[in-house]
Amino acid sequence: MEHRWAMVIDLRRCVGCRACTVACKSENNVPTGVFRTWLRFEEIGEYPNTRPRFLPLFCNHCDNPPCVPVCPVLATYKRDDGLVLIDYEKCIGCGYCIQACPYGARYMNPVQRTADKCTLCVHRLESGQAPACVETCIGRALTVGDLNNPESDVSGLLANYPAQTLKPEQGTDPMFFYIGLDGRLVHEGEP
Amino acid sequence: MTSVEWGLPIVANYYLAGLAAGSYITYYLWQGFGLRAFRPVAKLAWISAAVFAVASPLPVLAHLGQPGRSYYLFTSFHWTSSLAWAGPILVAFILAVLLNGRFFFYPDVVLAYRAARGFRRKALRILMISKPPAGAVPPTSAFGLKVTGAIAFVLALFFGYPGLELGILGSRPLWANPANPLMFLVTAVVSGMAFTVLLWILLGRRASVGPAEAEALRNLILPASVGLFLVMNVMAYLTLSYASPEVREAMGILATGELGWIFVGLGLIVGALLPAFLLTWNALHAKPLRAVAAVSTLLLVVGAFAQKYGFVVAGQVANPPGGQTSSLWPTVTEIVELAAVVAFLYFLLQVALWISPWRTVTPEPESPTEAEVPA
Repeated sequence: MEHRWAMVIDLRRCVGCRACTVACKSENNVPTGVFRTWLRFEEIGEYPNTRPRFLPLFCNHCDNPPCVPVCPVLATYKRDDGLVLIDYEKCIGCGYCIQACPYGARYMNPVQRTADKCTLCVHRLESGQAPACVETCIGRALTVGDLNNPESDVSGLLANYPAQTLKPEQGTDPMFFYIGLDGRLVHEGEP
Repeated sequence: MTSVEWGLPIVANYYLAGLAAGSYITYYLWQGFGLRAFRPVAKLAWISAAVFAVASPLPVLAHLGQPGRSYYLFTSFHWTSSLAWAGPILVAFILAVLLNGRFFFYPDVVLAYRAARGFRRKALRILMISKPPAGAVPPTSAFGLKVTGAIAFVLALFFGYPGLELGILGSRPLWANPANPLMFLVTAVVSGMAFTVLLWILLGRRASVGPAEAEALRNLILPASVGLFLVMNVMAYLTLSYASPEVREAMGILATGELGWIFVGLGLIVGALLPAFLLTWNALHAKPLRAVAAVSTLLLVVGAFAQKYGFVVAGQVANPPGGQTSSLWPTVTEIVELAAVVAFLYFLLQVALWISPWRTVTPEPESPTEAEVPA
């Protein structure tokens, strides 16, 4: 059976070290000033009873990706295994997909002059390795796996813990699931 | 800090496309609908439409990451992308406008061709398409004029598509407004008509206002269009003020924040409300003043750009790529690129005015229908 890649992010384990950001940059040669993986930091509660919350953010490799139908030249596509990728030889760099992504996951790569984003380290996945961010996470907050395999780690986590996705109202059906997601963080911009 | 992804070049593209559509609609008000008030500006309106249509893709080509691959828009056409339709619609519009111009200008072109020498003669020969007639100038094809004019008019109405391009993006709540295509079209009509009238005033040689000029200056279609533009804007932004927090944040930037002076100040008050008042006053005045019309139309041309800039840029405040904050203002490179496009536009307009017989060569018919009667 075909893989159906997904990621589970356990926010209870995230310490906000940003190692995922650095590992991604290093692994994928992401240019200065842009990020495939980044961290949103928020302070919640009322002073002096405040605590930090960290939200690692990526391309959500949506099941219903809004970036795919808007690409005017068919450079953005979704594979059968669920990965949403960009054909860098085809992309004209118009930026429409960047506007269409509700997660701000895409950016214009200033070196290759095309749209760019997280590929879930497809080159590593295809060689049986975990993505760089998953490999490097010191709190083991990130887990990647095959949703079609009930024995996989992600299937196990999703079966045992309540998980949410970001911005469900957008109807994008993300394949990145968050455990311990504060309701405030689900809809970005809510006070 | 980098500029927002869709900044000055995209706004310039939308603006120039709007000018092309608006100018053509102004021309068609005379040629298609027979509104006499637009007769004096019809030729300049057609020239403006053709020039702006040809120049409108330039800012986008400069903005594309890979401009050398821009032909993929045709070879890898993706019908679900509203952006993909921009190319075919623009190309079809340019072809229809140029063909229509061939019929519209035909008698003038023939006479001008006979009198012209050198490069201008060769250019006029190309514009004529068919073999130059000998003897009396035959009438133009009424059928050709009507059909190409109507096709170009329908295509001009499609120039609200930038509004659709933005309006379908649920990720950008400020933009996600089904009324966007109509608002873009109304802005196009306002800016195109204003530019045409401004050009006509600037190129006018007569010091006093003649009857035909007075009729044009008294026409209320332009101030009424500005009124519609203002009403639609006020309704849209009042509604959006009660929308999601993301939209309210963008609205705050547009109303009282960083873009307030350009959007509300320049775009809506100085660039729309004030000229609407001035144009209405001028139209109701016994002797309409060209100076008032010139200032009003200049303000409209500037205001339409300012309004569009504010709307497009503020829409990108939410969900910045990679969580990075971007500047709401253009980079030096973007300004230089736009200056180059404006310089090219000026050159193109001068060439078009030099080649085309836009000043009356043959006596104008009283209405378009008279031109259809064979001599």
